[in-house]
Amino acid sequence: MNNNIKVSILLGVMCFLLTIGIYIQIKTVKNSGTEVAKTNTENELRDNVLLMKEKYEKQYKILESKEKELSYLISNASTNDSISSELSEELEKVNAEIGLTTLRGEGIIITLEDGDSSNSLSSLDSVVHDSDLISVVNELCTAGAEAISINGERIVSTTPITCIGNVIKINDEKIGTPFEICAIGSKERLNGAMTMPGRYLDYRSKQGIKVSIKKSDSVIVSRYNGILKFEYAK
Amino acid sequence: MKKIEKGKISLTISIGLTAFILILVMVTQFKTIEETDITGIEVMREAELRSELATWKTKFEEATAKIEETENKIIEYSQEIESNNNISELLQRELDEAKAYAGYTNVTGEGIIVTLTDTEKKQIEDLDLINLINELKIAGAEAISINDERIISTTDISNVNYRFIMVNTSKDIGRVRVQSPYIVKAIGNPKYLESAINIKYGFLDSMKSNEKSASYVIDNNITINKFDGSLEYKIATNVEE
Repeated sequence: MNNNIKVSILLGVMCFLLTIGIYIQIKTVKNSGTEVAKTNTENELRDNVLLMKEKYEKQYKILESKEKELSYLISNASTNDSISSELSEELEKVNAEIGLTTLRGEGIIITLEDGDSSNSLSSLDSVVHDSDLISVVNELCTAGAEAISINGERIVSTTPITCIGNVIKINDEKIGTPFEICAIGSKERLNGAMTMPGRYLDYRSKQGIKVSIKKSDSVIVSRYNGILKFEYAK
Repeated sequence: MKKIEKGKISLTISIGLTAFILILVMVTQFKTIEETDITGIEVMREAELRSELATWKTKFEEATAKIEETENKIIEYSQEIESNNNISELLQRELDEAKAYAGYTNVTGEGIIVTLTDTEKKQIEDLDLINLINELKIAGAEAISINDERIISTTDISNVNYRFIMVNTSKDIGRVRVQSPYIVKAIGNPKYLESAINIKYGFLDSMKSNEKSASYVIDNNITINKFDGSLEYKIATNVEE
């Protein structure tokens, strides 16, 4: 009798625990249900981001054509007047400096690519990071580069280079490997500075990233794809 | 005796079975916890997507505003041209605006002043300044200077013989040398600028963990000097589109 009671108590406790277990399992299933929902809202968000980006790009095309119309109007109107023509010439120069025109000139094209991770000691070292791009841009400027773009994104005075997770962003635009850095300037000087042994790219290529540097007589650096604005500075 | 043993055996078996089932439940539970972690990342990605959506929306609105501005300019110019007036005044205005973006004018506004100082233990390096400036740009800084040297699109910061840090460079002045204390001024939204460097594991934390001296103040009236040289492209020319 005594034994029977013991057994039934034990079984009762076990049943109780099992119920809890089942309850947890049910909750898990419910949770994964919300995960599906989350993926849905995420997909929707992703679509919205793409749509908004497309909308921006369309709007930007309109802006570009309006700007072209304006500069055409200006250059036409200022031909007969010496002050105006001087001013419009200077305006064109400054607009080039702030990134509003596509530029061409001699220079170099640097391509950086993630290396084969199995070959290097540390796989993190063989990946191109935001810090690599920042350093390369800085060294190109030291060597006298006049204008620089990375994967078509012009480096202007307010351009940040960021890394979120494993994506690099320049001017809010996501870019990925291979990174093509176009720089206009004296091609010999730029090439010399970038290929010098012991300098940044030499060091990084020894760590496993793929580096190629090409001199060219006609490097194209595209215009800034954003909008310059002073909201706080006056 | 035999009866009791039989009871014991069935007891052991039932306990063993339940224990096995319990282990299964526990495994499920561990898996649940793991999945909750993934959900955390999922949520983060959702937040990231939301901020990205906001970014493009702002850019779209900025583009729209700029279109309107350009259209108004076209109207202004057309009116002046039609009435045979001189457009040099309009041009001068536009040139001034472009020059401001290029850094050829002094600008004032609210923002942040970060000071980096060499100490006996640790010196400030070029990378500290490069990283700080990049962080400030991420936070939307509109104008930045180091010891009153304006940062422009082609500014470089480099260490020469581990002693001095040189900031840009202009074709007619050459290189300018800056020394500690490095006073970095940035104009922009003070809240964004502050949180960009103050964030956990951000710029100030990394300076602190390297035992380097860095401090900042928020200031609502910062003046940033103009770039004193001229960029003037010698090699680059405009591409007609």
